[in-house]
Parts: sequence; structure tokens; C-alpha cells
Amino acid sequence: MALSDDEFEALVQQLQQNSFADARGAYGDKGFDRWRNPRYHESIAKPDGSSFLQGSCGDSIGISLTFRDNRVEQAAYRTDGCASSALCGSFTAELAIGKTPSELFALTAADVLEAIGRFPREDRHCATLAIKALQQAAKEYQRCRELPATDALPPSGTEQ
Amino acid sequence: MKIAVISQGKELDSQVDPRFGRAAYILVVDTETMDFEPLDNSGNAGAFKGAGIQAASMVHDKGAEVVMTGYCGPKAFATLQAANIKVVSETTGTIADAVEHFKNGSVTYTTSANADAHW
Repeated sequence: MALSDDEFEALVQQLQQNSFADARGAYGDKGFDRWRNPRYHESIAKPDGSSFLQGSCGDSIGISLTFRDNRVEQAAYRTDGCASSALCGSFTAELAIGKTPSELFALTAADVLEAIGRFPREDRHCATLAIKALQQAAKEYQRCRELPATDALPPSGTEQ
Repeated sequence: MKIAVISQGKELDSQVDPRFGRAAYILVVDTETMDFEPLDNSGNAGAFKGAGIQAASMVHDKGAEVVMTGYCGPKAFATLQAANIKVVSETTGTIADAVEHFKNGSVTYTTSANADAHW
């Protein structure tokens, strides 16, 4: 049976409210509020290093950085992905602020997940992608400034 | 009749995008004339709310009777069902390929979502 336009609109609103409730359950208050009010989701006009990487799920995350005195001054993310990608991008940018390239290369997906708090297990690959995007942006900064690379190769057998 | 095909680009030779809510475009194709209208879905894809619900609502507004997609999550599916829009999932290839399959009658309508809920 076809719904009237008003009935359809009401149903869409209801589904959206249900969706918000589910998302709050999945990410907790901290993650949900960050998703709805994203921070570091902006474009940096002249980044010193930037990246845009596609993950295995088809979604991409990019990180842009500016540096002052070899420390991250501004950080921003962009994504065409879901809330999990957006949250990982936002918290990765937040963790990057004030860090040197060496400190950026020491960050891991676990650090991002810890910063977010609650996070769906099946989306943890988003944190790995965000960290890879961050480190690629840092590498670009080092390459453009002709600085020596400080990223160490991961020990063999380390899960990426 | 009008069908909506979830697309990576805005042409008939664009590839089908498997991701319903987060796809870049939705092509609404008239199966008789092959006239088509690319809908820019980036506003929904980048929105900080249910992308699938919003995309499904947009398809409804354009009067499409069928959606062809790769995946379709539970909320998008519920929205499409409420709008009496039939869903063909696991669609691959180009938009033109998908429309051709549809016109040949070699498609089956799905009765449930084929992806987990996502935000």
C-alpha cells in the first residue's frame, strides 16, 4: 500500500531518529557527538603534507597537515566514507596536533581507537587507514622539505 | 519507467557503485528513451547522518520505481520499501549494463537488505 507524502516523510524522520539512537549505542556519547559535530573536518589551503588513501572497504580517508618548527600546527581530515571513517579521521587529526614526524610515525590504530572510546569491532580497519593516511602526509612533508625520513620499517610479522 | 542506478560517475558508461548511501551519483534512467538524469549524492554521502535513508528519499522524490545497487543496508531498504520502490542488489558493471539486464528481465528483486547497518 502506498504511503502519502506526509506519511513517507514521517517514516523517514522516524528511521533517522532510530539511526541516531543506534549510532549513539555503537560509538558512545563522545563518538556520537563528534560525528554530529565534526572537528578537523575542513580544508587546509596550503598543507605541508597531504594524502588520500582508499581502504579495503572502498571508503577513503585523507589527512592534511601544516607544520611549524617541525611540529604539526594544523591537521584536517576528509573522507567519502561512513561515520566510522569520519570519527577515525577526526581523532587522528586531533592526536597529530603538536607532534613531530617521529611522534606521528609512533602513533598506531590502537591510539586512535582509545581516543574514540567505544567503536564497532568490524570497523577497526578505519583506524588503520586513518593512521596510514596520517603517516603518508607526514612522509610527504619530509620529502618536500628534504628532511631525512624518520619512519621506521615495521618489524616483520607486525599486523598492519 | 524510471529506474535509479547507484553510480560512481554521471554517465551511462560509469561503473555501478556498490555503496548505496555513500555513492557519488545516482543515475535515474528512463528505460524506454534511455534519457537519464545524474543526481549528485555527495550531499547525502558526506552528511553526518543516515546517508542511505537520505539517498533513498531522494530516489523516491525523483519518481524511480526500481533501484539497482551493489549493497543496500537495512535502513535504506526500509525507506525504499515504504516508498514502494523495488530493489535489485549485487549489481555490477556499467550503468548501461545494469539497465540492459533490467530490460532483458534478467534481474530478481531482493526481499531484504544485504549489508549491515552503517552510519
